[in-house]
Amino acid sequence: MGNNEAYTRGENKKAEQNGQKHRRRVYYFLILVLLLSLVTWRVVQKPNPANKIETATSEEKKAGSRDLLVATTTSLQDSGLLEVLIPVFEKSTGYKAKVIAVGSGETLEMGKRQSADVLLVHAPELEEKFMAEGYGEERREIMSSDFILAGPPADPAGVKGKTFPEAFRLIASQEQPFVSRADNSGTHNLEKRIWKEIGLEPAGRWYIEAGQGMGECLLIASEKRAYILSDFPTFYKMSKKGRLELIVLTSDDNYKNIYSVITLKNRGGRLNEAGARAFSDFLISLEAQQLIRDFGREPGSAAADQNETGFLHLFTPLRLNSQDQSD
Amino acid sequence: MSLAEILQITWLSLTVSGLAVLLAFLTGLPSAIWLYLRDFRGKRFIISLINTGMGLPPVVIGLFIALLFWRNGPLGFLQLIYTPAAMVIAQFIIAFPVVAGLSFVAFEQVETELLLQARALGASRLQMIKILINESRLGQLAALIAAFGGVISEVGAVMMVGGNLKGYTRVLTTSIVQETRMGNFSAAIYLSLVLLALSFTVNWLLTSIQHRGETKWKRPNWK
Repeated sequence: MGNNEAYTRGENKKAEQNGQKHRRRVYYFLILVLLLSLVTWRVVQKPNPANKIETATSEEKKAGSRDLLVATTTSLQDSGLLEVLIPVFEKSTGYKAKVIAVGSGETLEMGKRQSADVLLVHAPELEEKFMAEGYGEERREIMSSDFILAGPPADPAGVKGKTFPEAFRLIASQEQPFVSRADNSGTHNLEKRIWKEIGLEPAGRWYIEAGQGMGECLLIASEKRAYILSDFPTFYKMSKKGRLELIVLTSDDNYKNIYSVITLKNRGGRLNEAGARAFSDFLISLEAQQLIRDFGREPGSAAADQNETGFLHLFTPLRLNSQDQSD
Repeated sequence: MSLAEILQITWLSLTVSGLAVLLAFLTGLPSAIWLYLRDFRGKRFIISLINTGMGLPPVVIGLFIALLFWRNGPLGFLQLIYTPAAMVIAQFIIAFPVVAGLSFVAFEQVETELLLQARALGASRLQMIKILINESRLGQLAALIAAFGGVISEVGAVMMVGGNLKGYTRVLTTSIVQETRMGNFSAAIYLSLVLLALSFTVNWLLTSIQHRGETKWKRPNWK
C-alpha cells in the first residue's frame, strides 16, 4: 500500500510538472500571439487624418454633440468619395462624422426613427415622399452621377447606343437575362420607372431579382452574362478591379442619379441639429463642390478612360455654378 | 411578400441546410472514427485544425467558394456559382468541422475498457465501431444540432455564393438582411420569427431522437 501511495504521489508530481510545462508553453504562445497582433495592427493602421481629429476633439466630445451620425447608402460609401469629403469636413468644423452605410430604404427609415442626424441619399422618388410626410427639415441636391446600361461585350440584344427605354424594350422582347437590384434602392426605383414608362411588367426566368448592393449585382450580372442598370461610379470602381466581364453599352442623359443631403425635423430632441446643418452647408460649399468635381480625376482614372466610356467625371457637382447665389 | 414566396424561401432554407448537415454527417462521422482509432504524428495538429474550422466565419468560407466557382476561377467550368448547389457546398464546409470535431470528443468520452471488453468477447472491428457510435449517441446528436444551428442561421456564405436571387437562391437569412436594408423592419422581424420557429422544430425533433425511449431525464437522483 505504502509503496503504491508513494508511486501515485510520484506520478502526480510528474504530471504536475508536465502540466506546468504545458501551461508555460501556453503562456508563451499567448504572448507571441499578442505581440504578433500588435505588430500587424501597427502596420495595418495607416496614419489617418480622421484619427488625429478624433483625439483633438475628444475633449470637446465630452461636452457633447460633436458626434454626427451620417446615414448613407452602401454604393456612395463604396465609391470612396466620402473618404475625401469627410476628413475635410471634420477638420473645418471640428465635428466627428460617423458614416453608417446601409440601403436607401434603410437610410430613410433611419431618418424617420431619428437614429441618424443627417441623410445622404440618391432615391428622389422616395426622398420626395419622405419630405412630403414631414420627416425632413431641408433637402438639398448636391451632385449627380450618370446611369449606364452594362452588359456582355457581345451585346446579344443589340442595345448599344440606344436610349434606356428602347434598350429595355429590346432586352425584354428577346428575354435576354437582366439583373435587377430589386431592393427598392435609387437605382432600382429608376429601373422600375423605365419599365413603367414602356408599359412592361418584367417577369420570367430572364429577369433575375438579386436584392443586393450594386457591386454584388454587377458581379452576378457578369457571371450570368446579363444586362444591368448601374450608376457609373460603382461600375467604374468594380470594372477597375478587373473582375467584370461587362462593358458600358449605353447611357441616357434623361436619367441622372441625383444625390441629396437631407436634414431632419427634430421630434425627439436628441438630434445633432447644428452638426447636421454644418454638414449640409459644407456639402454645397465651394470647397466640397470642387472636391466632388475633381474626385477620380487623377491620371489613369476616369478622365483618362474618357475615350473608352465617354465619361469625364464620376460625380458632377450641382452647386458649383451657383456659388454666389444664397440658399 | 406573398405566402407562397415565404414558404418557398423557408423550404429552400431547410433543404439547403439540411442537405449540407446530412453530407457533413456522412463524411464527418467516418472521419472522426478514423481519427479516433488511429494514432499518428500530427494527430493533435489535425484536431486543432478541425477545432479552428468550427470557428471560421461563414463569409470567409463564402469568399473562398466564390473565388473557386466564379467563371474565371479554377472551378468556374462547373457553373455552380449562384446556384443552390454552391450554397450546399459552402454550408457543408461550415458544418463538417463541427460534426467531425464534436463527434471526436464524443468518442473520447466512451470508456475504452468497454471496447476492450467487447474485443475480448470476440467483437469484430465493425461491431466495435457500432458500439462506439451507439455509446456516443448523445454526443453525435449534439454535434448534429450544433451543425444545423450553425448553418441555418448563417448568412455570409449563402449571400455570397447564392446571390440572394429571388425564387432561386433566396433563403430566410438573406431575405432578412435584404428586408432590413430596405427598411422593412416588420417584414424582417416576421421572417426572423419564421426562422426561429423552423430552427426550434428541427431542434425539437433532433432532441427527441437524442432522448428516444427515455421516460426520465438522466440526473443524480437525490431527494
